[in-house]
Amino acid sequence: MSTTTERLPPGVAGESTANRIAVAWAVLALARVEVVRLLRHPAVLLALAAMAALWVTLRLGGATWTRFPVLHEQDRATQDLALLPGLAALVAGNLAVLRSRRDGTEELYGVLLLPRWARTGAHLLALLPLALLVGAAAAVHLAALAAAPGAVGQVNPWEVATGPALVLLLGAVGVLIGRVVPSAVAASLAVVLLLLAFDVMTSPVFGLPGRPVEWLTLVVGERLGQEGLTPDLLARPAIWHVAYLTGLALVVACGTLLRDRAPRIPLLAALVAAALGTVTAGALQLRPVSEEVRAARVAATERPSTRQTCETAGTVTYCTFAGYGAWIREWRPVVEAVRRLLPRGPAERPLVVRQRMVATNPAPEDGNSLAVPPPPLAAWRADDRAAGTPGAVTAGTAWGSGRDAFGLAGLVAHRATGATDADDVLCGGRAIVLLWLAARATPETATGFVEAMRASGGDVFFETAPYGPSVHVTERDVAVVQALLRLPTERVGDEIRADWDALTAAKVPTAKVAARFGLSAPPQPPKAERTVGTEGC
Amino acid sequence: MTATQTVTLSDMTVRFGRTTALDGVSVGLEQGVTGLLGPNGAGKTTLLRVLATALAPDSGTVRAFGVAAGDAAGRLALRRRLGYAPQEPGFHLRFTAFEFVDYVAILKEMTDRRARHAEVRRVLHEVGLDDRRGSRIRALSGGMRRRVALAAALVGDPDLLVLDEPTVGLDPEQRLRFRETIALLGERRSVLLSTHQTEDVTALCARVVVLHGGRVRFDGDPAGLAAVARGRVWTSPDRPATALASWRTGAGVHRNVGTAPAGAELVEPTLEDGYLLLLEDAAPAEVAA
Repeated sequence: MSTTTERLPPGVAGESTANRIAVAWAVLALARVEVVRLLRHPAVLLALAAMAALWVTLRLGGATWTRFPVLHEQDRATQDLALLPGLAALVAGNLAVLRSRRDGTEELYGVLLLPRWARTGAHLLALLPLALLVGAAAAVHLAALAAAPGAVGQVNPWEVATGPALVLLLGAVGVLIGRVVPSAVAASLAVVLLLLAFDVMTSPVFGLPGRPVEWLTLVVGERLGQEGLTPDLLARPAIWHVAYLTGLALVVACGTLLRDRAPRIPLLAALVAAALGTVTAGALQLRPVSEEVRAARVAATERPSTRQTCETAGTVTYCTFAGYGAWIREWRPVVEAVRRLLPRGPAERPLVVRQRMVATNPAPEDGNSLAVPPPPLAAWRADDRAAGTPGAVTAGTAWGSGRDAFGLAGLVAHRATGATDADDVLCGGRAIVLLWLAARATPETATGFVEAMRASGGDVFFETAPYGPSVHVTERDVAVVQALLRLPTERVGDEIRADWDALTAAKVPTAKVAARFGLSAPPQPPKAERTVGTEGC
Repeated sequence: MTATQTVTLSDMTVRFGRTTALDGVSVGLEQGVTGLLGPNGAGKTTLLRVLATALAPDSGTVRAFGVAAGDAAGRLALRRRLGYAPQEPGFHLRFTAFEFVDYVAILKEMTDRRARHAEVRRVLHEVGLDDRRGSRIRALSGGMRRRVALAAALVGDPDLLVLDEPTVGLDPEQRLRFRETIALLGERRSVLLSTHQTEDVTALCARVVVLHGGRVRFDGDPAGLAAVARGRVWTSPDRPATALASWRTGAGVHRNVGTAPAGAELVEPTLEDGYLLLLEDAAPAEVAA
C-alpha cells in the first residue's frame, strides 16, 4: 500500500503571497544546489572539457584560424561547440529531474513544503549558470583570439550569446522530457534524434543550408556563396536567433511548469508572451537581407576602393577594408619576397595590393547547387581606374594558410610578368616563371605550392579571394617548376632576371624554357586529355 | 479532541479499489511516543501516509494543532509542523548525508544557508551521524541510512514526527540507539511510531494503538495491552495442546499463551502476549493459521 500514489494531495505551497515569497527563496536555494550538481555531472564536465581542450589544443598547435582569426567568423564557430554542453545539459538536466523518482524520494518530497513545480523550477534555473559558463568560455576563447596579432574583424555578441541560448533550450527540453517520460532512456533517445535531425537538416542534399528557414534550426553556419564577407555585410539575424532560441526555451520551461501544476495565471501569461516572442523573433530572422545591405554588398564588391583605407610601404600600397589593417604586416613579407626575386624594372614598379571580396552571390534556393557568377573583373578594373590604382593585385578576406600566401605571391608574380586579369590560364614561360617566383618567395609560399599541387592532382590553381579570379597553370608547366625548384635558387634567380623579357613574353614554349635551364619538359598530352580551358597551351 | 491532544484523525476511511485499508479509524495523538502496532496489511502505513498528507482519505478528517488539514492551507499548516520518515525511505546515493538532509531542509523552505547548515549539523548530531556527515550515502550501512532518514524528518524541529517502521533491519545496538533518540524526541513532540517490534513499543511508548483489518482494536497504554493477556499466560513442563502459542524458554519450561487450564502456573503477561491475544480475539482463524 505504501507505493500507492493515486490520491496524492496537490502541492499546497504558493497559495498566499507570503508562501510565494518563501517558495521563491527556496527555489533559489534549491537551484543553487542543483547548479553545483549539474556542473559536476560527468556529461557536463566532459562536454566542457572537450570544448576547452579543442580550443586549447588548436591554439597550442598553431592552427591557422588561431593565428589569423577572423573574429566575425569565429564568433559563430562557438555555436557548434556549444551543442556539446547543450546536449550534456539535456542529459544531465533530465537525470536530475528523474532523480527523486529513480531514488524513491518522491513520497518524502511530496509531503515537504516545496511543491513539485518548484523543484522543476529549480532544475530549470540551474541551467542558467551553465549557459553563462558556456558564454563566458566562448568570450574568453574569442578574447584570446582577438589578442592574436593577426586578428581581424569584430565579434558580434549576439553570435556568442547563441551558444548559451542553445544550452538553455536543450537543458529545458531535458527537464521537460524528464517530467513527461519518466525514463532516462528518453533523454538519450532525444539526443540521438536531435543529432540525426541536425545531420539531416545540415546535409546539402536533404537539408536547409542557404534557405531562410535554416534559421528555424538550432545552429546556422556560414551561408554558401557568402564566405569571407566583412562584418558590416554579414547581415546575420543573430539577435533574433538568440531571441528565438531563448523564447523556445521559455516556452518549454513554462509548459513544463504548467504541467507540474505551477500557479496557472502568471505562467500562462508568461507562456503566451514567450510564444509570441518566439514567433515574432522566428519571423524576423527570416526576413530577407535589407536593400541597404544589398546595396552595400554591391558597393563593397564592385567598388571596394570606396570603402577602404590604404597604407604605403616603399613602392607598394596596401588597401584594406575596415578592421583588416593587421594583415598588411603579414602580406608585406610575401609581396617583398616576390619582388626581391624580380629584375630591377618590375621590382621597382609601383604596385597596389587591394583587398576584394565577392559579396553579391545569390543564396542558393536549394541546398545542392550554387550558381556562382564570374568575378566582376570589369567593375574592379573600373574601380582601380577611378582610384588611380590600375592593375591592383587582389588580396582576400582570409589569411594564414600556405595557400593564402602562395596565392598572394602568385598574383603579385602574375602581375609582374605582365599578365592581365584576362590571363587566367597560363602556360609556357610566364607560367613557369611566376610559379617559381611564388613557390620560392617564402617558406609559407613553398608549402602553399605543394598544397596546391596536392589539392588539384597536378595542375595548380591559385587565388586569394573566394569567388575571385583564379589562375590555372597546367601540370606540364608545374613539372618544370618542380625541377627548377630543385636547382640552386641563386642560379635560377639570376638567369630569370637576366632573361626576364624573353622568358615572360607571351607564348614562350614550355620546352624552350626547360631547355634554357638544362631540363626537359614532359611531353605535351594530347589535346583531348588536357584539362578544360588549357587546350590552347 | 481532548485538551492534550495535538493531532486527531476522525472516522478515517481509505479504500483501494475493493480493499478497505482504513475503516472509520479515529485516533488522537498527544505529546510523547505513540506506538502503532498491527500485522501486515492492517492499515498502519496507510494511516501514517494520511497523517503525513501523502495520501488523501476517502472520508474523515485530520486536525493538527488546532487546524483542519482537509484543505490546501490546512495541509500546508500540518506539513510545516511535520517530520516524516516513510517505511522505505529513498536516498540519493551519490549525495553525502549532509547534502541529502540539506536538500530536504531546502524543501522545507529553510532558505537561509547559514541557519540551514547549522540545523542540518544539529539533526545529524542528534541521530549520531556527526562523524559520517561527509560520507556518501551509498557508503553508509542500512542502520546509518535509517538514521539519515530520521535526521531528515527532524529538520526544522517538527512538532509531529511520523515514523514508519524506522527500526526495520537494524541490529540490536542500532535499535537501542534508535530507542534512545526517539525517546528523547518524544519528550517534546508527538511521535507516531509504526512498528512490528513490540519491544520497541514496550520500551518507548506511553500509548499504543493496535490496528487490524483497517480498524482500531486497541488504544491505551502498554500495560493495558499486556493486561489483555492477564490470566492467559502460564508455564508448564510440557507443550500443552490447547495453547495458542507455546515455546520452551531457556529455563527449560514452556511458556504458553492461550486459555490457561485450571490450576496452571500463571505468569505476568507482556505486551507481546496481549497483542497476540488481541489479534486472536479479533480474527481467530487468521492468527491460528
